[in-house]
Amino acid sequence: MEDSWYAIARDADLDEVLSRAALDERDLSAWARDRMATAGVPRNDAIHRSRLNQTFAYQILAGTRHASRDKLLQLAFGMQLGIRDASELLERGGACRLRPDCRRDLIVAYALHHGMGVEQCDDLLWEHGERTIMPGKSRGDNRSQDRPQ
Amino acid sequence: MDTPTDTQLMAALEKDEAYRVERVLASGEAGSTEVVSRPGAEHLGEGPLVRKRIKRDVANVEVFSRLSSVGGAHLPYVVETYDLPDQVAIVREYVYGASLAACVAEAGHMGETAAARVVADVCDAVATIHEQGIVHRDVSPKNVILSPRGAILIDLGIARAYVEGAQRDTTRLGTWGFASPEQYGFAQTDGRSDVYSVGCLLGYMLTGITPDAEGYAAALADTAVVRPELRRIVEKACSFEPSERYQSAGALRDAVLQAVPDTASASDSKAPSAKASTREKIPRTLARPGQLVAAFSEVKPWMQVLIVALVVLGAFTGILFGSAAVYATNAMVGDHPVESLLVLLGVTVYLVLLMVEELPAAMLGAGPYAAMKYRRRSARASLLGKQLLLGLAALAVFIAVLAMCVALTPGG
Repeated sequence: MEDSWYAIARDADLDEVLSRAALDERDLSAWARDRMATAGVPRNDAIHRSRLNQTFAYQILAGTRHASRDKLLQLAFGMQLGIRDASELLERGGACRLRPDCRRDLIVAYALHHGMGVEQCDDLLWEHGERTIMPGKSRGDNRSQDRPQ
Repeated sequence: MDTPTDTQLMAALEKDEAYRVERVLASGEAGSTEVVSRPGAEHLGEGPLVRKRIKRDVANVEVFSRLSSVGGAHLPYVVETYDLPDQVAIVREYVYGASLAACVAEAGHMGETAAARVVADVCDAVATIHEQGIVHRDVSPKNVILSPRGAILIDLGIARAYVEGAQRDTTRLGTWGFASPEQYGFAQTDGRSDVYSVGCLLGYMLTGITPDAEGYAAALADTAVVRPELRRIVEKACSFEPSERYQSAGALRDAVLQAVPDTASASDSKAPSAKASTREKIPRTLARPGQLVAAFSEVKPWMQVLIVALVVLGAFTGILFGSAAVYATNAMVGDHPVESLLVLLGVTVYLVLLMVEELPAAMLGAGPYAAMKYRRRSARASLLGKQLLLGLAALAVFIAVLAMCVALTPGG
């Protein structure tokens, strides 16, 4: 992917850069659909795990609604993506990638990498004094539904 | 239009995810059409299905909810319908056969009887959906499939429910050349809009030209191509004013059957022979080599090995029996050698055809067995049995004729 930047920096011909570049201009909906099909993740499972409003989540996946960065993160957790794929999802959804120089993003990336659920990630963020992904969680109520009782 | 609640959405999504997409037939802005299957369906003898998705702003959801209850000999069986926030989906049986568009494009215009049969079947289908208050709005050659059970009308994609008093339809679609004038916004569409389209269909079948193409009017007016009586029927059905058309699909059907008395009644459900193929009874023809080769490449390796072994055995049997025939005739010189040779050759041909063509065709599901590819094995077995008996009967007749020749020949 970086080859194109390298080529431009080395004063390569634009037409050649365009012809050699591996283009991928899929929108969020198409990318998410392909990603879930490859991973064999059914949409309803992803929507359920994301803890988003189901209709809203469906509309994000269908490309008929835009979502905020945190909502996209919820979707990333629902789709059980890794750090790279989650960054890809954020970008295609119009937000900025996970940044390794941002404390909150580091915690989220850690949670994604370890296959945590959204609530577990929120617990972790709360413990580290960061804003949670899901709104409206007050201290003491932050119990993950996925944790064993 | 109410969007489904979240639980309904999840239930609909679960239904949606349950189907495995085999291939995409068409995909556009209004929706998509896919061939799908349900896992484990092969064990139940269920064949492939077709799932059509249509965007909500194009589809009529009220019609969709009624579609699963609309059935008939000339409509596809609907497995289920479900709706999602942005689209509706209908899953129906996969109708085997070529579309009318493909048939006419390949074979040219159809004969009167064949065309009349198709019109009778399509009118039956249209009448059935009109009884439910549904207007098809896209009766066109690509939506009529010529199948073993007659012409089947598919794709109620833009069907709408007739609403009393409505000024005009909100969407104007349909196939150019077959859509009635009111579908382009002059008035509301009703059953007579479908009558218009069926009339266009009749004209298309008789002339081989689509109504919007050059030469259609001339061909329709040419008495050598289209009988004046039929031309009048087409013109009446395709009148600009709905009030001047046949007021129902049944009336059009009756007019056509009256004009073409040789047409079998609609309850007979015989498909036309525009392309010499699918009727209700599967034709007793041999599978062509091309069909066998095409089907061969699609089956599993172990089946391919078996077929090759069968063909080799057939060839070996042919050589063996052929040689035996030659030796036998040499041994029987003076005692009807020609007849003996012919009998042995007849048996050879029968066995070779059986092993090289008939059995591989039955195993591969090629040629006449193609229509049964997704039915239970017993259907294929019974056809194979019928073909074998037919072959044996032909052989027996051949031997009987030879025996008569021997009996009638004076001396030895």
